[in-house]
Amino acid sequence: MSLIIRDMDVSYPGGGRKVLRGFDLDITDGEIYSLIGGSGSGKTTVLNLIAGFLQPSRGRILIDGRDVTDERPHKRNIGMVFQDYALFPHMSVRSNIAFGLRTRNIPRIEVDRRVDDVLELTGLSDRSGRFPSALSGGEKQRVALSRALVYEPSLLLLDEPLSALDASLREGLRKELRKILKGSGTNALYVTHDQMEAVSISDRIGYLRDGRIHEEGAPERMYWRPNKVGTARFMGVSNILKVKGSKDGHLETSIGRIPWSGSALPFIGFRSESLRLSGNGICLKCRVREVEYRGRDLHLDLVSEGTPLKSIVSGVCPPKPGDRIDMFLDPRDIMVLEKDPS
Amino acid sequence: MSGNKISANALETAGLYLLPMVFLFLFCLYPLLLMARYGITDDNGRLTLRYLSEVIHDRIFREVIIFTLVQAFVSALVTVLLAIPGAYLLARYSFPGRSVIMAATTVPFVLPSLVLAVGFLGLFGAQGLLNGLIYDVNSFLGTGIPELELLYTGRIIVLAHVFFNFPIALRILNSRFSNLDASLENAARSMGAGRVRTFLFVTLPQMKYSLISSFSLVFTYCMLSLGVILVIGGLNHTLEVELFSLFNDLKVHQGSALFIIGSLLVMLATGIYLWSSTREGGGSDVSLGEGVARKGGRRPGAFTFFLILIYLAMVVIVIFGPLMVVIRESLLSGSGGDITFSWYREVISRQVDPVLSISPLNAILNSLLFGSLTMLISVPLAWMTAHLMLRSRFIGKGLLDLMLLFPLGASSVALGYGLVKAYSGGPVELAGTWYLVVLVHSVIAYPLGARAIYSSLKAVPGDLMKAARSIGAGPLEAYFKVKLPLILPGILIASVFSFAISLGELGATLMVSREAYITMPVFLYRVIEGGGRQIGPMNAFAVILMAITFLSFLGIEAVKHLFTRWGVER
Repeated sequence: MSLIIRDMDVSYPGGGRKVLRGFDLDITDGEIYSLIGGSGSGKTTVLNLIAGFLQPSRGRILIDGRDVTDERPHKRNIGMVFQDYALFPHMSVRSNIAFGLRTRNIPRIEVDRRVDDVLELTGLSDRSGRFPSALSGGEKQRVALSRALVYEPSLLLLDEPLSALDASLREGLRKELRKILKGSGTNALYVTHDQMEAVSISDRIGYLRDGRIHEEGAPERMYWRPNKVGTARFMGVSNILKVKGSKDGHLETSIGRIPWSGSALPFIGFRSESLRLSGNGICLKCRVREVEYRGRDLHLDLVSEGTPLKSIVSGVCPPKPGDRIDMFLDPRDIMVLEKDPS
Repeated sequence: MSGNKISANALETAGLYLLPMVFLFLFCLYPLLLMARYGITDDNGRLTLRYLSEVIHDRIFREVIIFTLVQAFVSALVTVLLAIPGAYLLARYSFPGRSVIMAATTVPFVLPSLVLAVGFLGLFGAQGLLNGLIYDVNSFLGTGIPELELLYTGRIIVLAHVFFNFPIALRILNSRFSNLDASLENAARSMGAGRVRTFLFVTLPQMKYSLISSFSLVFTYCMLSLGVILVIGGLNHTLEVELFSLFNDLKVHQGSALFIIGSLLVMLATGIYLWSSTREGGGSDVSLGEGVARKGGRRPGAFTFFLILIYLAMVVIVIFGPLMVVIRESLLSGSGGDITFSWYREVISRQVDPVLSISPLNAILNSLLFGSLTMLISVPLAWMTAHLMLRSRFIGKGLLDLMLLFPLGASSVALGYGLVKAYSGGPVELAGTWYLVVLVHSVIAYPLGARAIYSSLKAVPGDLMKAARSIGAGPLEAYFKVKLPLILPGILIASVFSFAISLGELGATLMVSREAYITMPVFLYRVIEGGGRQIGPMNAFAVILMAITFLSFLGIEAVKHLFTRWGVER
């Protein structure tokens, strides 16, 4: 099972700006691939292209090796889960799920069996007779997922499927969603603007920017070791410093000399949780500007050598604004960042 | 592949686009333009302003124009003022019977105008119920209460117009009140403003455009009303009544000139309505399909409850009073106060009316037939048009929007007469045929139907069709299995609307129908106009007309249940 997109261009009707340019994407082997990016970056456009609701001006789409670029939406054998679920309000849960099987002319007995199986898998067996208006948000979400999975599509497209849910429900469903997707073995393309959701749910993450994949990789690497400044910013790396030069195993930065062996690159960065109140590593003299309590965590606004830094620490014996403190940074947490191509 | 897609789309667009446009042009725009042409050309077809200046300088015509404007203004003002408290109470308070009241207000909406006229005759006439009561009171108590002399005055026209248009204003204002941000009122209250001050200075100003749009819509309707004024307006002529008599006297040029002036005035009012109804979040689209008076609202205190009670009692009496009188008169025998069904037997017998040379039963059957045919023509057109309206842009969208307004804002008398003029003596001979009656009913009904379908189409989330397609349904399958069931309520409402409009239409039908194709309202009008008829059969006939209309509207209630069951998210 595979999805391959090659050299895709899309512009909106009436000419204007290209939403995607030279866009490439590969998803294989039952992988969950998350496409992240800011609003207006074209994430949903990618889904609409793959589903066939939009035509590219250039490029090809291959699903399981078959070129579907000119195929009509219902012939592509994909499943799609929408942000607001898009459940058919005039059909029961069972009919919603059976819809895709019936359009494929599968015999009634087989339809019933497969619907029962998927209801069981998603824990909706006792909801099968209900109408969507009588379901909770989480239940609707599971119906939408069941409906898209039941006919075993070659590819599942998910458009911010958790964004309409409460924060508490979202956490729980992430795990469940991943379990169901992995259990089905279907390739999934998951679109979200929430990098934490992408990290916890996917096998691979691609950051969409300026109409193409800016950078992609496994969640841990994208989180701790992004290669590009833009990716680092989007993944929530708040401390990014320009490297002025390197000399005798040190990097010259605005917060001072940092021991470093290796080549000099334009930027380094580290996550705010890497800057600790105690520990080993590089010691940075900081002044506390602001302290923000966020329950378990404390968010510190610091200044070191005139450079603002951010840190997240846990909250026993917190420093106060105005305090001068030493902060510690493990050199292994430092990431080296390339400049973004302009 | 993509070539196929384009041609299919083009075909679909052409079909959707051409049919309604051609229909509107042939049976609405062209006849109206033809009428307008008679107003500015002489018998030899030469351009002249003679008739226009004649009409403007004639004292009688001027009086007609002024009376039309004044009665419309007063009617609209009274209607809106009466509707404000009702709309507010229904939007803000929850009390037993609220939904019943809202349902009751649909009654005047759908009531054929002549039924109310008959009711007013029974209520306010010299021998009417109220004067009978006054007579009894006077002779019993020896008081000297003067008799009511409302009939055939301007005041009764206003009363009738308030009756018909009150629900429209109530709906527009109620939907706006319901959508208002209540936190603004709470903020004002928290800063120490009293209830009255809050209402006057915080709530009402936010209603500005809804007040303007309800006023201008009611004003438009009052400019164009015909039936009640013909029957109970006495010597008071409005533009529409004057057109009716001018065209009947074959004074085509004067009539057309008057039509031009009237149309300009109506267009002004319609323009104001359109402008104001798109403000304030467009909450002013009135259609019966939309739920009014949302759930929720606080429980009223004792004093408020008392006010609500008085207001509601008034509404119920005003709405059902005249109808009860019609029913009562239809059941009373001429001698004494016995209850009898003989009038009904008389009405549905095949006895041919000596003057009209048609039996009442025939008129009933005509109306049922024409109503059904109107439905068959106007609903598909409305369906196509609704899809067209949904497209954000296409060539001629402005033209379509404009043409859709004509049937709503045009003089029905002029439309009817224009159709006769346009399609008689030429290659296409439609004048005097029964299908012209159906065509004119369809023209008048279908813009309203298009609106009903459009608003249910608009409520279908776009993702549903995408979902159906992605799951594997082809375009047709997705349409029939997903979209059509969801817009079915709109289609049903459009059907009932068309049927009811055909059933109640008077002005255009009077102009186009021959004796053999008389409809129920025309029959009723001829009976009243003839005078000297028995009151019983007239009322029985009116009750039957009313009953058929109401039965068809029960369908809408059923439709509402579908909506609730699906809980369609909007």
